[in-house]
Amino acid sequence: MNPLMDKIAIIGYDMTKFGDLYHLGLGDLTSLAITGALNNAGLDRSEVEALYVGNAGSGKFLGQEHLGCLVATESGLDCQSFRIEASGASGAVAMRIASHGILTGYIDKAVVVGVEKMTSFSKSSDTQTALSTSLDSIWESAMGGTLAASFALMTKAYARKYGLTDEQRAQVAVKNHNNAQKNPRAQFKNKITAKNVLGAKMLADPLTLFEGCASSDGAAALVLCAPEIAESYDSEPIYLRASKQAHAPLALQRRESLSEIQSIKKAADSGYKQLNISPKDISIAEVHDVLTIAEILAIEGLGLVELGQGGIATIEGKTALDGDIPVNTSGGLKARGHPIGASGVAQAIEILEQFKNKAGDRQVKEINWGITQSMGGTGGTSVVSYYSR
Amino acid sequence: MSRNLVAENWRLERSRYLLVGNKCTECEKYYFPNVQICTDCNISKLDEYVFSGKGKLIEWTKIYEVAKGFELFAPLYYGIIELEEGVRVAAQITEVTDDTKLIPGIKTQMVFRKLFEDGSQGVLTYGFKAEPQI
Amino acid sequence: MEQNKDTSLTKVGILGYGVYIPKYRISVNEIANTWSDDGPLMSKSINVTEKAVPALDEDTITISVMAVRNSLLRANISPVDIGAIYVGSESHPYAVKPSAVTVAEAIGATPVMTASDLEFACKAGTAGMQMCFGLAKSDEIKYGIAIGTDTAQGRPGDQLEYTAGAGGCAFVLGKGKLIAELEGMYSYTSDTPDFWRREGATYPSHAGRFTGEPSYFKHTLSAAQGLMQKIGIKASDVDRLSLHQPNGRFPISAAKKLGIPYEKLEDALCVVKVGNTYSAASMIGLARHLDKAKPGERIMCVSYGSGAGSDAFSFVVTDEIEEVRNNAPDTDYYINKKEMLNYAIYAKHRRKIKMD
Repeated sequence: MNPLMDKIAIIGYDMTKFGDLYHLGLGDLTSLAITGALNNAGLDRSEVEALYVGNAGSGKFLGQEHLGCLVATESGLDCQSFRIEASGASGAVAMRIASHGILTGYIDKAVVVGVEKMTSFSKSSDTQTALSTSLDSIWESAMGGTLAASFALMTKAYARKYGLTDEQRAQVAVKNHNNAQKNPRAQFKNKITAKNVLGAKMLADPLTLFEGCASSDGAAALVLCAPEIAESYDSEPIYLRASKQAHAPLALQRRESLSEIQSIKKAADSGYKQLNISPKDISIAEVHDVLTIAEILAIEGLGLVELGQGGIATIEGKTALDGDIPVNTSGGLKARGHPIGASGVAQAIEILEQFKNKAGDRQVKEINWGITQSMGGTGGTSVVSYYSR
Repeated sequence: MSRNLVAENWRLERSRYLLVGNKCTECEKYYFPNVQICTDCNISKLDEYVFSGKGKLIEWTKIYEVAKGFELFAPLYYGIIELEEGVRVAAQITEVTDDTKLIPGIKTQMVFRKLFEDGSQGVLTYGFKAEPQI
Repeated sequence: MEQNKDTSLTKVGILGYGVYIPKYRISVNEIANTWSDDGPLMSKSINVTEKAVPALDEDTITISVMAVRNSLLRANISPVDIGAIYVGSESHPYAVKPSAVTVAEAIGATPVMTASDLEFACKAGTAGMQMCFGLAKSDEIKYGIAIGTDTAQGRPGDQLEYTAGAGGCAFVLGKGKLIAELEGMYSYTSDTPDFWRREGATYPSHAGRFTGEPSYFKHTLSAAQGLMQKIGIKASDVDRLSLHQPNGRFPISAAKKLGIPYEKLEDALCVVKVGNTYSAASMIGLARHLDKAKPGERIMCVSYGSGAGSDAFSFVVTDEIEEVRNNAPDTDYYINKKEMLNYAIYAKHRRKIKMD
């Protein structure tokens, strides 16, 4: 980050419930989240200098583009607006871009909103098609590939290398459902067992329906500002200390390894280095568990567990709410819900609530550093963000 | 659906039908699909290269929840194949009778199949799929 | 131009051949059970035990490409020297848009060439052979490829459903390193409505027993006899015979009527195990003879297409056959590579289930 400024303050946040919100349109969702975040910050609409909208697929889900303008209009904002798309990392990248605006001194206050409205499709194949657009459309999707299939390939390659069991994988979903039960805004608050997970219908062998995310509607918003003005809005602001983004080839077949997502490690390592901290300093993490295997690959990429130990760590409870390093205390993408563009922002909100002791029954004690990891598609884009008081 | 864009599929015919890629005249790196620039050498001088279609299986899965247009083919086998020239491609795996024999490393040969169709009225798109040589 | 006395540069014939048959099969018994028919009796009466069914991702175009690729493995020519490609079929995937262009593109033969789709019920493939021979003999093209492929449909429960199979056969034709030399060809044609399918209709209709004597037999026998007379040979001069095979009975009767013993036909009788492959049927028979023939043997191939007409060809196998025969899978490879389907899955493969 800019040596003159080493952090961005997050002074307001809010999100809608995630799930089947049939009665709310995309503009309604963003209006609710943005208004809530502004109220939370105590900021007037007229003070917002720029709006950053993270959204993965309003064009394919709703036939609506020009989203920056739409969201500004529906939220009563009269400011410059930007729509940022990076598939599942859209919200996280939007937050980065907004922070760049503030870091450069170009603006002082920005609103970031992540949103997705996915439940209008009635056929599973339509949803699979929409999700597949995060892959290489010609050389993966048109060859018959789907997002779940790509993760299935990674699962099998990983399992061959490290010996991952079905139960270890399933435990990711079980744990995240357990956490979601304590999150009022989560989409799935039902308790599930490994048997439920593994017995569900197959998406792509060996991954089942219960290992992936359902379609979801929702929006999540943050108000960011320059640190020097933060305390006039929030006496104890939480700071975004670094946000790193790294790349991996879009198509899985062009990557060197299928058993890891190199972009996660690249992004994470550069953040640790900049902040001069190590994975041991991390107290909580929200990761992009778009499928169970993704959480295992993420916690390894972030260095929270050793390479090849993600499954064992999960089944041993290391990442549970009361474990050494609680992961996805919100319920994660799996159970909080994954309105694609909103997830990156919702992850930040979970970290904020934890820092602010507002996480209710899922509150984690003594938080030093919080971390979020978000990715697009199969990890072609990865964003890792670091938060502290 | 964007997959059925006529001109786009026409552009891809030689790649899909014949595995036409290219090879950098400088570093001799193979490219599939073909590229305009070898970004390693920063040159645009590449020779057309027709891949043999022989390769080996790297990893595979069986897809049950398929994307639109593939419903009739579901469940379908899909995987990553490394061509003998060292380039990897994703492809459907066809002619699978016993998937316990799909072990990474087995030899594969690309065969010509229908990839997808645009409903009952639209164009048909053809291309390669991998047939295990077991 | 200097008169060329080397016959290898004046004679036309076959340079390569390739067969492709989808691996799926349904038995006559299974179809009969579905329609409460007597399977063993049916099987015996048509002399067919099972038929080939295309995979869900196979059609006349893909089968043609696979067959052509096999033929090129044997012909050992450069695809750019191919001047004509004809795909004969009654099951082209498009009503308008040629199958032949996709086949040509898929083997790298485009763009300086001619291509067309042909339709003449089950003899469109051999019509393509005649066209290629004509063009090659007149030096308009160097090589031509004639393909007979079908993924024939029979109306559910109809007699035809027991036999309508799937398969393709391609021949690389022209001058040069021939594996079989063309001795002569002869056709016999008339307007005989024994079998037809109207534009837009899913299934063909047929005239029952009328498909026999005045149709199949009349044309097949007339073409065969006409050819023998034309080139001056007797039935006993024929070492191997391939006939169109709408079922396993007709060709056996026809051979008998021609005075050619069953043993000379036997190798061509693929219908028993793969069903009637329509445009490909007599060509696959010819191909299977080439799989087994010795140099010097004379093969007569007679197609039959409803509507109706027959094309007869006589070839003499050359020494070259031994060089190329094993460069591609033989016909038996495809006949033996099989996976049986039940009627429900077969119905899905043949899209007999209404889905919209």
